[in-house]
Amino acid sequence: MTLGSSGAGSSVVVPRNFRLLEELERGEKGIGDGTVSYGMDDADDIYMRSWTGTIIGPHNTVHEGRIYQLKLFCDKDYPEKPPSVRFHSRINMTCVNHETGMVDPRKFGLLANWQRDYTMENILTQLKKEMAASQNRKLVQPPEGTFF
Amino acid sequence: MKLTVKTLKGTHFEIRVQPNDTIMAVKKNIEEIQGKDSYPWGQQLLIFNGKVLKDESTLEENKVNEDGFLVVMLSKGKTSGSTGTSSSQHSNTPATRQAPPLEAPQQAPQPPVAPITTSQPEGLPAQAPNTHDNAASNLLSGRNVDTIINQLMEMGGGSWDKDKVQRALRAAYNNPERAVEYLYSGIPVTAEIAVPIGGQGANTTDRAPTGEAGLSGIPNTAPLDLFPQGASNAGGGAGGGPLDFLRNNPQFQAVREMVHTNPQILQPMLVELSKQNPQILRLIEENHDEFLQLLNEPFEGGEGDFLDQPEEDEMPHAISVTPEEQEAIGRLESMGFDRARVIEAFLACDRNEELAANYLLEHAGEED
Repeated sequence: MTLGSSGAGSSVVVPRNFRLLEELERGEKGIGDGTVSYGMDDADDIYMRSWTGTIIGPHNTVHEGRIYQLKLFCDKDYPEKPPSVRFHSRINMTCVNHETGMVDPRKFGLLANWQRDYTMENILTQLKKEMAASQNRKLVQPPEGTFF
Repeated sequence: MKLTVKTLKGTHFEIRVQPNDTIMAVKKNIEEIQGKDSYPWGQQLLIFNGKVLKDESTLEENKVNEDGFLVVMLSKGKTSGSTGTSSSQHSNTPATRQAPPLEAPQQAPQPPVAPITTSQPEGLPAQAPNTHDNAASNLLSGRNVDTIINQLMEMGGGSWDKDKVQRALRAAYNNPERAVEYLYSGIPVTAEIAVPIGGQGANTTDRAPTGEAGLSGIPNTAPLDLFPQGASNAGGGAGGGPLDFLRNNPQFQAVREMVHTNPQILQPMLVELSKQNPQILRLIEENHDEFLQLLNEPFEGGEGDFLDQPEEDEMPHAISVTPEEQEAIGRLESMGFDRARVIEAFLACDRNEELAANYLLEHAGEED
């Protein structure tokens, strides 16, 4: 197993693969209300880079009743660097590129101000909160079931 | 094996499945347990580890194991109401392998709250109660106007050409029933009679030439008939407020009603207005406060403002005349008086030709 790079500071630095295994276990156990869920895209990938996630649209928004599928890619430098997040389900949001579905780190605060202890669950939960934000809750959405 | 299923309401339950079961079988299993009203299997969506499971695949293919959990939700925007499901399971032990076997949970599903959908009427209603409804419908879709025009042309059996039908519709404020009446009995009498009677008549006069000019683009301009009229009136509106011409425009009244009912419609309407008639939009932008005041005026109540040609008593309805009265008007007109004044005097004297002639002669020196 590849060890993650050791970081500065007095806190214990968890190597990359242990961190990903921990997140995988949390994803399988389903802690939370079930509106966001995630898991590995390819179970045979020993580097555990490719992940898939879903967000169920929050209530009282145009996203209510929709399921959005996402792809997250955790490269070797995760969790020092944030993963790249891309929507697979078509969505109209201010922080999502309209052609590719990529979440723009410059417009999504969690990716712009990434910290090591953030998790993929935090990303999905924050994206769900972003859907309920005032600038996104009433945007006209593409038809359900379409993909980028 | 036992599988934990979580719902969006925060509840969870267990189902007994086999690894080679298909996802569709699992959905039907959930429907049996939870009830058809709560989770009809056709609308269920099962999520496992961030993936939406497909009906044809099996649990084994999706690597669903006993430690995992599924999330179930309904598609098509339906949100199930409180299911009232009670469970004897402990919330902190559902996924534990060592959990003791439990009795089947007591199911008390309640039907979900029926979703309230607002349906929009399509096309014109068969019998329109008033002009505003028709105007509102026509503003929404240009195809309605085209459909009506085609229907009216067919009713005429070829004797009514498109131009005539359009003029009749315009004279009837896009009320198809009245337009048919005009086509049978003739437009010119009604249109001409309406000219000097009240503010509506003035608008009717101004409307005709603009309508002719807009014929070439009729599919695009017909649904926004309000705006060409405004353009021709804009210059002449300098006497009163810049937007005074809108006050007496029936289409504008319809727009006001629509905006009151659905305020969000105003923004796209202004966007459409900027494409069709930039002059009007510029006027509105320059007089933003007055425009808002016009929109918010109460619907009922007399207007103290006068048009360019003020009338002492406004009669918004068109006046019909018999052929004999038409001849009388013709005779009075041949005496050298203006047709508008002739009609005004004739109606003021209770359609008495002699009294009207006397009135016109006595006031011959006056100018409107």
